[in-house]
Amino acid sequence: MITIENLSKRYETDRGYSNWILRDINLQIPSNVNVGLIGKNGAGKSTLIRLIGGLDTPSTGKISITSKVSWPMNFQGGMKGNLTGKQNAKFIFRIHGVPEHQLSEKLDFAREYSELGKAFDDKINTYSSGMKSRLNFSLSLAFDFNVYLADEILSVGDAAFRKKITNTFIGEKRTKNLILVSHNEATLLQMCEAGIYVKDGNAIWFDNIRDALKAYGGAR
Amino acid sequence: MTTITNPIDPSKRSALKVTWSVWRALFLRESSANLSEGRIPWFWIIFEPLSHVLVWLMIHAYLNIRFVPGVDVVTFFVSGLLGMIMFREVVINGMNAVTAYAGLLSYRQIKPVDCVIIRAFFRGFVIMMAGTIFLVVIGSMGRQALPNAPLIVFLAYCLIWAFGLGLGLIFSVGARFIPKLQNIVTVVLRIMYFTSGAIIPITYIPNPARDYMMMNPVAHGFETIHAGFFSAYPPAQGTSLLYLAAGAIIVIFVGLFLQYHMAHRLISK
Repeated sequence: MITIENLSKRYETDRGYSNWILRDINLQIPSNVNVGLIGKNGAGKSTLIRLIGGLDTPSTGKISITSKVSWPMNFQGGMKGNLTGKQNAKFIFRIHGVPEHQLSEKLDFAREYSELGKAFDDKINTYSSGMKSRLNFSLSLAFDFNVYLADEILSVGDAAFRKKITNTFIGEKRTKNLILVSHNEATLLQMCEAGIYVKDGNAIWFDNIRDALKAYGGAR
Repeated sequence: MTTITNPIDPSKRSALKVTWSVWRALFLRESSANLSEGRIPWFWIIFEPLSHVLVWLMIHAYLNIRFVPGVDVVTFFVSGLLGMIMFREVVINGMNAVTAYAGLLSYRQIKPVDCVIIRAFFRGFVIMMAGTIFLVVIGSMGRQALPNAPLIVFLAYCLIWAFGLGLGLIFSVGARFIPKLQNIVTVVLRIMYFTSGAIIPITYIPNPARDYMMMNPVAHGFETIHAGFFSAYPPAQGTSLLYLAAGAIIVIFVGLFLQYHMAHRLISK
């Protein structure tokens, strides 16, 4: 369960404070649904994801989280181009406190799940964006997080990999859930049950992703 | 104002454990990123200080200067130049650490301060390896390789490193707000290269220049190092490791203060 109370966020910039990006948000995100996060570019979706992921601190208000949350998965960071996929994977396992004797087991999982094969030992800057997202996803799935924060990352995987992800995150007995930022309606309808529509600094909760998309579509 | 209760980690590790695993992982990553590309990086680790030493030996031989009596010129240059290169690398790498590791800040375990500390530590570690090799070679050439007061010399190197770390912590925050700072720091470091007593013995510089040079804490470190290597070397008047230690403690605390209060600005861009 993620509870957001009176959350507001603005950034300190070199020219004083920015405008309010998020204003007085109150949300309760249950941990047994997949949530799609929608809104225009720059509406504050990524900021909300970063706040939930603990990368930024709210300007005012409070976020309390009782489940285990992954790092926000996106394209921008976290991988060093001149290291191999395997070296990057080791690094991420180590900062999460995986002891050395469990490393190889986790590495095998990441290699298998990502289906990178030999490319796992190649440098990251030879990877396509789809391969990067496969690696990033596989690494996070090697941990038992309850909630996975995916910022646009699903949009580049190929059909086969997306199906695999879908199978992990869909079904009654799953233990993992997604908070997914996406502009792809089909992906959202397929993966998510509930939706959050971020608009003008507000975040509106919808129990059904269809209603959220309808509200968003109406606004467009 | 803000409280995030975020029981993120599967086993709920303590803060110290998280920091330790981050430091360990960062250090291993820094090593594999810097040393795994074949032989070139290893060559460079030795060759860079060597080139400095050779240039200064050539200048010295060409000008035919009478050096401090009873002092081995080669050892003098090696001990000074390696320390100076360490200081420079620690400051510059510390200053650039946050930009170089920007991508890594998308893991909440990693704070900018970790990046600066580990980069500085790695640079110090590399120079220490190079220094050991240099001293072994010098010793096998039949020259003086070991200091007369090894512990004092080691302490002085550590304090110079710590002073560099403190400056790195400060400048990494400063460079975020004043991008030109990097150029200024580079110029100042170049001046310090000549005026810190690493190469030119401060004792023989006439006043008032000497007094100004001794305001620089690093100069106290190098005077101590050279006096610790050679009993014949007279350190400049007023040389005190305590002065360097005080400087190091002050810059480290100012640096940590800035890191603590500006961390969110460094992360959020």
